[in-house]
Amino acid sequence: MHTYIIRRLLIAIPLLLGLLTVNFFLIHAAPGDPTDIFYNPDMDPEARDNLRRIYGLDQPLGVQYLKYIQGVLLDFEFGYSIAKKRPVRDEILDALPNTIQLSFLALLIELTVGIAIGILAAVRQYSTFDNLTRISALTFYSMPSFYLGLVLLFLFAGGISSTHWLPASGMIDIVRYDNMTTWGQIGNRLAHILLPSLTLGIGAAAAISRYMRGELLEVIRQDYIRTAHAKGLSERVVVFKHGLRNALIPIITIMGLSLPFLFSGSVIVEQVFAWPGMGRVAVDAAFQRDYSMFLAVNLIFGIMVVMGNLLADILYAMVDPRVRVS
Amino acid sequence: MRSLQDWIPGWGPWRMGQHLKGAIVATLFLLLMIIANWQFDHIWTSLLLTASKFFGATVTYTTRDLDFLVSSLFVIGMLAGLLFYSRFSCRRRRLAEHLSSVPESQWTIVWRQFRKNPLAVAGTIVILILYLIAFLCPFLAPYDPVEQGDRVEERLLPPSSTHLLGTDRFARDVFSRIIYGSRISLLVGFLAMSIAVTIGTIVGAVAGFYGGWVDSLIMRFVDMMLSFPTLVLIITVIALWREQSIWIIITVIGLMSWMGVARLVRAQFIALKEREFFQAAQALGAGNSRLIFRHLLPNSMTPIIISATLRVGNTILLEASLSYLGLGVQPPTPSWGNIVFDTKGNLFTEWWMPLAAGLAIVITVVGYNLVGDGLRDALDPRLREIN
Amino acid sequence: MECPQLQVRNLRTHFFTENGLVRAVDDVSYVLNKGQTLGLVGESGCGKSVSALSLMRLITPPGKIVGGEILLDDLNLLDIPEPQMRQIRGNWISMIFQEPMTSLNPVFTIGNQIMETIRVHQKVSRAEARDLTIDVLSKVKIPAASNRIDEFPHQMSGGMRQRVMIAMALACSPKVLIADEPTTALDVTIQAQIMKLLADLQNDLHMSILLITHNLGLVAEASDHIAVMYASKVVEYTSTRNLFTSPLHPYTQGLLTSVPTLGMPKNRELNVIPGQVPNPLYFPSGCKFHPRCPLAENQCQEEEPLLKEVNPGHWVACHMIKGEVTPLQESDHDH
Repeated sequence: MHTYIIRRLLIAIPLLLGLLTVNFFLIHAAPGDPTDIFYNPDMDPEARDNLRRIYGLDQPLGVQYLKYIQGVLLDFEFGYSIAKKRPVRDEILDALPNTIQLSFLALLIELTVGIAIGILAAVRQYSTFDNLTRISALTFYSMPSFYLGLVLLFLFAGGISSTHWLPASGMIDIVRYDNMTTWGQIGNRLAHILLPSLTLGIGAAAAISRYMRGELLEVIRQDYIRTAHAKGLSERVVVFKHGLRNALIPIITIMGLSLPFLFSGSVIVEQVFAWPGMGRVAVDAAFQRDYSMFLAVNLIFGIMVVMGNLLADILYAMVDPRVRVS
Repeated sequence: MRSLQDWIPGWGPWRMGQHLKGAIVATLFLLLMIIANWQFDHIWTSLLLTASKFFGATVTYTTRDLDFLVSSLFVIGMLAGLLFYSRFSCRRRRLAEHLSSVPESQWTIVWRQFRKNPLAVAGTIVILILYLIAFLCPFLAPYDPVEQGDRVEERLLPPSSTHLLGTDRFARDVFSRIIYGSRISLLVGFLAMSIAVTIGTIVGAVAGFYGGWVDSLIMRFVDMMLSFPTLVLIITVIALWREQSIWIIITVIGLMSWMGVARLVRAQFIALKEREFFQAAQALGAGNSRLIFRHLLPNSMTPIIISATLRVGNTILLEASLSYLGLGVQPPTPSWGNIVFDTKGNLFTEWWMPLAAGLAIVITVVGYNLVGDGLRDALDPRLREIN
Repeated sequence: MECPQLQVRNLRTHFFTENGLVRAVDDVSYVLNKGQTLGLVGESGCGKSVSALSLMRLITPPGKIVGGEILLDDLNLLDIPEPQMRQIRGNWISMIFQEPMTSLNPVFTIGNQIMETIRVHQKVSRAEARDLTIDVLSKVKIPAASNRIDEFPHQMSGGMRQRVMIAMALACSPKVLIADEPTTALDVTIQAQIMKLLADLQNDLHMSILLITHNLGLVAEASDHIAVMYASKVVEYTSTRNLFTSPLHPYTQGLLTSVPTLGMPKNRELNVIPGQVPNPLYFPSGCKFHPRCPLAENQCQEEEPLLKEVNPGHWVACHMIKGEVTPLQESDHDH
């Protein structure tokens, strides 16, 4: 297992360097001099040269590249946001936990709902339930996440007054939050996160449920399932012990691969529900042409995907004895 | 008598047992006839206008006139096309009945499998109707999509017989905007998919054919591109570009979504290289270009076609998401995504505007995915068993 | 003393496929005596594996057992409800499969998989089950059984895995062991070891073995009786000695002369049965062997031959061989 994990790590490292490189070149591919981006174009040329020197832009590209990598990796340094008038790092450290919170809950919904539905659909192949979930899965993954978000908002957050149960935006009730008991505060947070995480989770669950169904049906046709039947085990034990354990292994990889889609979705969902996360930061920055900001967001999302996939690989190695014991 | 009957669109195929084909042809013909009849004045004027220009009169077109002209030609062309299609498919069929055996092409078999799947057929019909709508926008939309009405009297009207989906805050007819929005979605979907599939095929073919370090290098690059969440990367690139024309959006979406196709084509090439026919061709001394274009590529078409169809839906979703964020197609040009963006503030009051525009996206993408799933099932029997 | 352990009577298992009805097992009868081995021989696709799965009632849709009787002692396995059948599987009747590489679940240790069988059928604690498992693993001659019990299937060789499969099948001391091509996937030297192991275990445990194979050499050595199957039917059933000394059915004769034997003249040509095994979707009319049969006459094209006892203890289904039509079971000598 150790060699396997080391090999995965060795693949992840050039991937991370690649992400950094792409991002570095995107900065330099932006039209005009990077100082145009960071500072007022009307400033006097001497001041600009000063700035160029301060930010190291007068140095050769290679040196700049190494400094950039060093800055990001060692100091978490992404530059200064002109729009927010504070270091990009601070802005991101504020937003990142919120996005992780939202994505994590969405991932939880994706897995529980997706796997449960997938198993039921596979066990009752071609039943009404199977057909029904097939069609709803198709609809959900053909649905832009903002639309699902708006529909949920409309249904549960004010469109129909009798079902106005949940708040429409933000993370907490700003006015009343401080006066609540601890439990009240937790409840308030849950109420706020419920709709965004559902929106993000359901679309992903639709895809996972189809994969789960396919994997389980594939596993059920294997020889060792026939052996399990021949031992006199009940159908339930055969499916849930022998079948499920094998079918879940590839789902780990698929889960890792679904991370980029989850993060893409979170950008939209954060916009719909005014969730103060990385996606909102990126979109605001794009509107304000705050280059250092949205490039940093892009990079951090990339790093999270690589890390997530690495984690999935390690999990895979722990679950599959063919990798673990060899 | 019989040959006269053949000219009735759809009747011939129907009578000969091809009910589905007959029904589709007849419905399309009728639909177009109704539109032509109803918009007779418009068709006639626009054709007359063009004709008079042809004879030397000075005519200045507005964009809207051009729209009308294109649509008129489309209606007439489609009507004639359907007539001849119906007639000749009858004749071909009759000919086939006389011959003892007509060899079945692969596509005939695929089509037969595809037809058995009612959902796939429904998807095809949805897509056909959408293309029809996109071409006939000026005839179907009761109002100009960008023209603003009276800001006081006609602003935010509820649905009525004059404004089917009411008006937005600029007093524009939402129904007309949604009809025109179909053009953007279908255009973006088709063009961006073509770019992605072309790049993906070339990259995948190079990696799969040459193998070795070329392959590793390319595949590491693909892995890296896949690590960025597509939407975030597209936002980044579009924001760097500083201007948002529809063409730039199409290009960027295309440039950022070829990786899946590349992996697919590479895997297919590697598998095909192990097959006997390829090794035989190689042993006979076929050159690289012959190997690629005569042997590998044609045999990789099935997965490429399937993935292209399924990709259109994704591309449409990406464009809609970008437009929803306000970073895509810019108003006043209507796209379904930016209609939702424009009207999302009215969700709790004039809810029909954002919800109807969003529904249009869902229907389109579902349609494409149904067709894609149907094609996959028809082309790849192994997958059919599992799904 | 021959006394039937398992009797199969007029078993019919059909598959209702998209392309049509496949009669995979059609009116098949045979008898397996206590403590003896019955060889079920035939080419691939003749229905022998399906008949074995039918004995365990492990046929899944689109397949279905549509008729016949399977008597284990006096219990008709086709009459009992599924929960009772589950108690019989792995307990009274066990099965080992052709592919030891894929027949074990890759994510559980072999100990876990054998203990599971024991604990389903016997009321024992986890620790007792573990001891029993180590016992049975040593019985199939797996060295250092108490260590290897915690290994995963992928850590073992093919021969070892087949031993594990046998251990799993024997864990509850079954009355009948069905061995479906148990050695086909293995190297020749390992084949011999496994067959020897099966023979030894049969002596120790007094079980009956149904040995399914296409390998005539294997059944010649290992079995007491042989049933030859062709195109979903049993065409000849007799003692091993009878079959090899005086085969009667033209198909059996063809099979026997198509195998090279040690010491035969170098220049003698091997016999080849002309034609091919028919597609089960389109079986020929009458006797299914008639298109390939050197003796075929008009009657063979029209009428399907039934099994008849031509000599005591020797049944053949062929029009060209005269004899009395008798059901296979009733005239068994010891009744």
